[in-house]
Amino acid sequence: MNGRILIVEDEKVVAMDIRTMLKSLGYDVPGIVSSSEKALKKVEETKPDLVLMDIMLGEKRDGIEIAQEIRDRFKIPVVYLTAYADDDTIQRAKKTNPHGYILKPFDEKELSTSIEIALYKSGIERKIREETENALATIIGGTELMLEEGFQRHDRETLDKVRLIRNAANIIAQIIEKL
Amino acid sequence: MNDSIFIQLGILKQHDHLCHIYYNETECHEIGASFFVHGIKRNEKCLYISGKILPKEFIYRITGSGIDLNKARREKDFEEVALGMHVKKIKDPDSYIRFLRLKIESFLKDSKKISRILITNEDFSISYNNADIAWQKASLDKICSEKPIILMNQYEIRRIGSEDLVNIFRTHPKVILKDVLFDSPFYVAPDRILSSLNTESNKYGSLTNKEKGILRHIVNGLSSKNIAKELSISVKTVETHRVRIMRKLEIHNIVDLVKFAMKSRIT
Repeated sequence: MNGRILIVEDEKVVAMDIRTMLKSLGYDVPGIVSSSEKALKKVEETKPDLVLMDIMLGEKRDGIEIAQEIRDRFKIPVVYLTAYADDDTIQRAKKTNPHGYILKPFDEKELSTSIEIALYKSGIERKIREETENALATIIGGTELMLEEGFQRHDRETLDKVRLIRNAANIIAQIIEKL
Repeated sequence: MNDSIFIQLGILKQHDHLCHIYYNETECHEIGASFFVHGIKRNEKCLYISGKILPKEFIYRITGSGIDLNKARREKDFEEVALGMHVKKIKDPDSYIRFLRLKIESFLKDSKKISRILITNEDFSISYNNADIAWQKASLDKICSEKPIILMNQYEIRRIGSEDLVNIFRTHPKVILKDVLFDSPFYVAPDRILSSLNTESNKYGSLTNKEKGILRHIVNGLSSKNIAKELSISVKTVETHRVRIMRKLEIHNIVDLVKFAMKSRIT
């Protein structure tokens, strides 16, 4: 399974090293960026399949913050790269629901395993999102419509049930949204 | 209450939302006509225009209100007109409204003490369009121009097939609560309803047959991938169609798209 992977890493030598590894593993690297602001721009431009993200970017906004935004805005999976992992960082990183966490230094095998797992996982997530979107919209839209029509067209018992269905559908929608 | 005419269109079968204004929720099971009759004061003249003569159950219901309906009927304090019997003869909307006006006007002339008028469209098979709604509204406005009037909800919308008509009647600007006349929180100006109806149907009309087909598949819950398979086109083409449909309808998310499709009965 090949894919396009964007590297966000402020140490140029490390970044080049990773790119070489990725290329030899058969991945495309649409770009290397060294700052958080550039990372968002590049993600928007190139829409990669995955982002390898250094947590310590030496800027106001670190990799974790950027990763969160990438997930929220573009639904693109992020695998963290970091030289060390203190508890606080791990806790913060965990909250962004990353698709992987690689400790530096790492070898090609570790890199490829993490990426494969991340791409596989995000592929399934995307499939679930895409395949359920219209069906869920029909459940939510249909039930909302009935609730809007209200007592004019339905009796209370029906509306109570419809409300339960709508709420349950919203729960599923939220779960899928968070994937 | 005395200087208002109370027109109730249709029986409030169950939980009509206007019913909430009068009743607390537990009492909403009262059916409309009984509700109508319920509030009658002694010696108050009432006109009830319906598809049917009030059935017996109403009489049981209203005994609690201190009114003997049979006595009221005998003494002509309570007049019923069963429109169902006449409606067969009514061929067009104009003669229908003429008939209504005649009845209401003669009732008003007859009775100095104004009370209630109840009209139900039950058993009607007239199909309404926008023009019909406009004349109904205009005619009723004319009839009731001298006094504040309260329009209550229609009967069974699905049977009448005119949600739009209901919307206009339902949302009259004035309602009465505990003998106090106040502005209806549900009021929507008819022009606004009509114009929104027009734009909605125009918007739908602007879709091509292919787009309507795709919209139908979306409402049926098919993913873009499955729609593509079904229509033997690429997923990208499906997505392009979807974007175009949403742009045409000025809708920005799929839930609203589905709602629009259901309202337009594209299922």
